[in-house]
Amino acid sequence: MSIVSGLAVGPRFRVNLPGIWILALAGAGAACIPLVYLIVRAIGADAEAWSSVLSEGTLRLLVNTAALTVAVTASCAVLALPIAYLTERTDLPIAAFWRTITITPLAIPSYVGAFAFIIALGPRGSLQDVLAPLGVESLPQIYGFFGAWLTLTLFSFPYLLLVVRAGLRDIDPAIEETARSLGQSAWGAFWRITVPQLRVPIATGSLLVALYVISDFGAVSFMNYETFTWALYSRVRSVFDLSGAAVLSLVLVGLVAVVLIVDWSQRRNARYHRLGSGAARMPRRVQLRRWRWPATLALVLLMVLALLVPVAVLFHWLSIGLEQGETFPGLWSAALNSVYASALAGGVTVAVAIPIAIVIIRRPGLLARMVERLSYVGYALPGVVVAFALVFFSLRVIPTIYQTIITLIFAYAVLFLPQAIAGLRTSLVRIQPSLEEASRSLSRTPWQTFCSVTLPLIAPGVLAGFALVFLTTMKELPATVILAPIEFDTLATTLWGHTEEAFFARAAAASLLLLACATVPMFLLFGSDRELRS
Amino acid sequence: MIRPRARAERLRKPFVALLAFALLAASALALAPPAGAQNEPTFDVQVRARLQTDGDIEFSLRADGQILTPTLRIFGADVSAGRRLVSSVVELHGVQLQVTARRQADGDVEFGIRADGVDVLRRQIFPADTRPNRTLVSRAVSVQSPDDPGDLTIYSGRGESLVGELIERFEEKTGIDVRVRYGGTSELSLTIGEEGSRSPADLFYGQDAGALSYLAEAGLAGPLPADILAAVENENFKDDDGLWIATSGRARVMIISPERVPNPPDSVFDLVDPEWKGRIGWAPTNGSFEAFVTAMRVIHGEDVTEEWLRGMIDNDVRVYASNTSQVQAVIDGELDIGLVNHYYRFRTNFDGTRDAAVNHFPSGDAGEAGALINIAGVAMLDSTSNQSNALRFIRFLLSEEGQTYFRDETNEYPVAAGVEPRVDLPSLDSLNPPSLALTSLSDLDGTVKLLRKVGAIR
Repeated sequence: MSIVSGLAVGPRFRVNLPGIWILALAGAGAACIPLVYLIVRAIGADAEAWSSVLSEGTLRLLVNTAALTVAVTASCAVLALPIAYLTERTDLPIAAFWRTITITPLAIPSYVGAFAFIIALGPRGSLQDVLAPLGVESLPQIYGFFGAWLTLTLFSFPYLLLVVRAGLRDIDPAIEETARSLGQSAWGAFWRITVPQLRVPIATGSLLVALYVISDFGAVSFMNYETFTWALYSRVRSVFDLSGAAVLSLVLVGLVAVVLIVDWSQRRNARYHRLGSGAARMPRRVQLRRWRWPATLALVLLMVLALLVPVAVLFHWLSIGLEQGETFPGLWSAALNSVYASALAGGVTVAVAIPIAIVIIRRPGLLARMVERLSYVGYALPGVVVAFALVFFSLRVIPTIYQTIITLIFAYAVLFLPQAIAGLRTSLVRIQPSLEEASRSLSRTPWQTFCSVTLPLIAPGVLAGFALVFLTTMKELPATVILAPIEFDTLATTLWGHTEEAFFARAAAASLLLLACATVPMFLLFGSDRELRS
Repeated sequence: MIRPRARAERLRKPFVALLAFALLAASALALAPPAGAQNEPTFDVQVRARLQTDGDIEFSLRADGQILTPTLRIFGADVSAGRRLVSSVVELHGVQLQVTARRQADGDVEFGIRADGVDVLRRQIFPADTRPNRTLVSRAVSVQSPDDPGDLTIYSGRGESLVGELIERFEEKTGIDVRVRYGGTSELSLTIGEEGSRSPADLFYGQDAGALSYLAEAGLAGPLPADILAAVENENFKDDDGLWIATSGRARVMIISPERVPNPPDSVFDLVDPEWKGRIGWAPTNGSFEAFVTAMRVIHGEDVTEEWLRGMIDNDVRVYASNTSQVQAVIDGELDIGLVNHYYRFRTNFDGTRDAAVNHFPSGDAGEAGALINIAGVAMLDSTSNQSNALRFIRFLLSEEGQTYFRDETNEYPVAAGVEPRVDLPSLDSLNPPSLALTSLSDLDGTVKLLRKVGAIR
């Protein structure tokens, strides 16, 4: 720890990007639209809505939500940290494969995952069928806290993994090597040097997971675990009460504020970039030796649960459908729409996030802190609330773009901005400002410097941010249903429609295609981007 | 010091991949054909006439490679000479087509085509001495579609796999370009609530009376004309102020194995008897089940409902995720009695005999929660500037063709007068559903609380 903070010496040189604040403030402002909407709606709420918020039930909802959030975030960290290390820093067999495949559970919507787990691991599910000869009559209940925790952990740990891994790539191995040369064991160096250096990525990734859990509806509804978002949806669905839902959402915003404050208090003003001359070089691969195969086995087991079980259930349904001559109309155009919208969303969101990330890292202060915190608002709210907010906003401000691809991409950016920021900041935090200074001294303008020096240096972060937004957009449902251009079907909406009408074979086909569409770009991005020799 | 440069090069590859990928996606979309049916400006129509063995002539029309059969299409052998008869109307691409026929003095029948009331084809001759069962086809005549029948925007809480084909039929008939936004019934009704008078939708089509009455109460639904309201007789299946109307219904039933349950229970209340211990199932998180429990609370009161729920749990009721899984469990022999909607049996694929699971309508539940009928229905938006097309669509849903579609394709109950339910289902009247306003079932919150209290859901 002392080594890390010991690096921070001297004032920071600032490369002034003209207009950077305007861009950052505009991005954060857009992310705040849902908050403004909620306040407008909540003002119109009657006294009854407010009093129901203050009831005893709300407290239980808060406790439930907090318990699930803490548990899922902790277990995601426990999963993501070793996987990131194994795939980036060791001689694990077929590491490139593992690098990609460990991210793919992100492409499984939580409601599909939860449904598959109920089928496979439920009291009388497939696993019980297998165990029946051993005298197992019924498995323990999967519904409730356990099921929600399991589903959300297995399908959201890649959020943390992607961010931690991007951070791990940017660590200067010289510090670890120095520690080793001073007598630390490999484990000692990992715990005392690597993990503390990963403080920012771990905190950022955990925040992504925590806020995702707070806003998730799919898993908790299938698992019957009552969280705040669950209550909000049931209020929207059963009593058609927008004002009441807005009041509840504001309580949710309060909960998110608590999470953000906790997160902030964990961060110190440490600096993580290299000072002085020299540059990071490729780290040595740690030899796993006799841990090679146990580590592989652990990864295999994890992927069986997080990927193979849902995929097997999907294939089972698909095969039933194929046997009965089921047809799958409209799948290809839906896949095309999904990829198109997700790629656009990824690109636009990263572009909006870059100024915000620069401001956070390079211009720390109260305003930067506000910009960062506010950019989390859209992400932490249930998608349906954000969608209604944008209906409200775009119809009143620019009605001509309502329900066009522009509003849709805008909605995705508002929803997933923090993911792009998270990907970017872990890279940006490691850049030596001296490199940019050097570029300026060679008479490049600030924006030229940004394009020719900064952007290539933060490429891993750009990729991580793009991947996060791309994958999350692929499975996004409520905003797509409400804001997409009319008849713009995506795989997520197709999948949902068929599930609702119990056409499981068609739903399975859409899910599998979604998984494929999400996986292929991930292989392109992560499969071969870096070859290391030990 | 050249490290950053080297690094930039190393990372160029994925960037190129990313860029190529985005370009590919964008160009693929640009090349994709625009959505929406294009109306044909003109199309060819022919008349087909076939002499039946009894001497009657049956007329039909052929256009666009399909055969269109008017409901009234028989020219009787006994029609006297000189009398001109006109068939009932069939619609295609927005044109109302009819066959005209008149027996000449010499016994030959002359026939033709009337499009939108104008005779576009005359004096085709069906000779009196034509052999029976021979089909004659007239020459083709080109018919002009109306310039622009317009469009229609629907927010549909009913899935595309359920009603997509029906909507296509409507487009085909009328030439109207229908654009549908599919989504959840409550989400879409609330979206309209948020859009207010700026809503792009002309019509809301949902599968829950609660959502329809939300739009009515929010002042967003427009009044429906008397002829539409008259099409559905049951007062519970339409709004008191005529702001929405049901288009089809679904009944709560027991799905039973007739082999293992030769004497099925007379009422859902009998399921708590020891006789059924461990043999019954439900899907407590299913919306239809929750609507049924809500109806029980409204009709029988909170205490009776709670007692029944506890009785069911004490009777070791088995918990299923959905209606479909209960039907499957009965077929598989795992379950004897399940609580489902009537049409799931028809949607399930049976490996063996269809008698493995049958619908049972308990007679003791007449007029009570166990005989609940829930509905799907439509409301026209008050803000629409497209009233005539919206009303045309509603009339189509309530027409014989629409109602027959619900009976045969989605296996629901027709609700408009004149179309009978499937032959293997009891009539709506004999079911005697409880006479409560379906909108009184909106207290889902209270039902979920009760289910949670007794431990039916966690």
